[in-house]
Amino acid sequence: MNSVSAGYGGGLVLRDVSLTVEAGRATCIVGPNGAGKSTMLKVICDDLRPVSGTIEIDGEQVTGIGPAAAIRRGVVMIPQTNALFPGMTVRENILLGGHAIRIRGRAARQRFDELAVMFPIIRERASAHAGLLSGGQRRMVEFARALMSRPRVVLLDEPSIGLDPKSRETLAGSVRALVEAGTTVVLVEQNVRFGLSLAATGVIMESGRFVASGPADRLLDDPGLRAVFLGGHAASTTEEH
Amino acid sequence: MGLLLQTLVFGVLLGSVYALASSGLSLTYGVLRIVNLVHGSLLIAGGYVTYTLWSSIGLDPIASVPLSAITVGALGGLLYLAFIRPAMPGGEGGTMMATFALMIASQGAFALIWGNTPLTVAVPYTRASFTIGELNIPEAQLYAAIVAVLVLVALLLLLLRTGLGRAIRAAAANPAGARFVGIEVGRINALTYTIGAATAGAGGALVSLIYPLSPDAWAQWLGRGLAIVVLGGLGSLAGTFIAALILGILETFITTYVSLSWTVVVPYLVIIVVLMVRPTGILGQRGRTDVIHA
Repeated sequence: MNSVSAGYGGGLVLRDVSLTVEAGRATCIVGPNGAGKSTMLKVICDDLRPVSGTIEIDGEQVTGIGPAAAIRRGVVMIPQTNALFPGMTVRENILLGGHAIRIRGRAARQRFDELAVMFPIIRERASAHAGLLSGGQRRMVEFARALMSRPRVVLLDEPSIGLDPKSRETLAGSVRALVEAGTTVVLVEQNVRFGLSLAATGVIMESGRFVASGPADRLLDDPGLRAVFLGGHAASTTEEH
Repeated sequence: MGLLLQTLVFGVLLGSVYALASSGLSLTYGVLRIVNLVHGSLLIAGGYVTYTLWSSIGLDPIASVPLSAITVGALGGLLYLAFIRPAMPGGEGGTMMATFALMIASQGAFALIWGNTPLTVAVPYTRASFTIGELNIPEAQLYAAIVAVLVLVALLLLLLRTGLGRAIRAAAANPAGARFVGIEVGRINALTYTIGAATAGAGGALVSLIYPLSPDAWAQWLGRGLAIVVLGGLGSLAGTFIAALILGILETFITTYVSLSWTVVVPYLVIIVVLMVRPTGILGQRGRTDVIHA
């Protein structure tokens, strides 16, 4: 993303931010509440049109094309909450993941079966209404649904929110598997330790701007970051923007 | 006993047509949260289209069901884009006022085009009936009921078995979430309104077989439609079908055992009683997620 500014109702949340994410790796964006992390994901998946600036994926302009077109170009987002259709079955929810790229019939069934290998829950609870699932199960269904369209880029907004430790571990395994399969993952997390443990690169955001970035493991050990987010002490050693 | 059974059969046949006539009202509320007051007018428009096809080229009303559905569906889609969608930022109140204005305007338009005199479609089987023992089954009502059920089954299959149906139900259940799977909610809303109008058009074609058409007949059909969707549970298609059968049977029994003039007030009594006793209707809360879950 190049020099992107965006916001709601005239006020800017993102202020002239630029970020390049390495393909096939996971990048985690951390920062306090209101830093603009979720807004940034909304801009990338085109749920929110930027006031200025551009978004490119592999050199292709995707700014302002709308969420459906973004999915067709390989960008899917798993929002923080309320992404499933509670009165519909798990199977129907998953199949909707192929709506934008029009996967139907046998191709849709085949993709469902492939995903059921990665996420057994979607076969076990295929006929259950999504509204009856636990928080962890919902997250798995959202994850599987996002993969229905074989995305190149997956955007995860606070994936660990509301999950118990076991579900969080399962989710972490899915994110790692996704990256191993060559998918680019951009995740936003308030649970800094969890988010950075999944990522190759970490980016710190504050008040709508990127303030630092670097290898995720270095950021995790960074005393400055620990002071701000993990309750540690000492000064920052990360690369300043 | 014979009269009782006869009345029941009449009621079921009538109720099936009522179900189709009001299904679009339920669909529109379930997905768009619009109390579509112009629905009765769209139904009467379907009747007039059928009358015109019958009187000009002799097309049978049953055969004109698809044409009526397409014509009224297209008209509904245009009305939605021109008048109803622009009123949506005003919430349910805004769309109610827009559809109210269209409802009033439609009466003038019908009178201008087709005149104020009631019109009837008279096909050879209008007065014919099948006799099974003591039972008389009027052919027109029977054909109308069969076609109504077929159209409703097609509507249910569309909603339950197709990608478009899934997208409609998803947009109804969670519009914000729908955007994240690439559902263009605005487009789905327009399509849903068009489908609702098309069902009114199909219903109007069948109604023209049973009832005379007049510019003010929309009021009677809107009253019935509202009574049915309130009784069934706002936005529930399954509830709509059950409620339509109940209303059809109730009206027929009152006509037979009390007086024809009392049937006019039945829908309004149903609305009042349901809102007092069980405001969520027969399928209650479940109905709302059910809709368009069907």
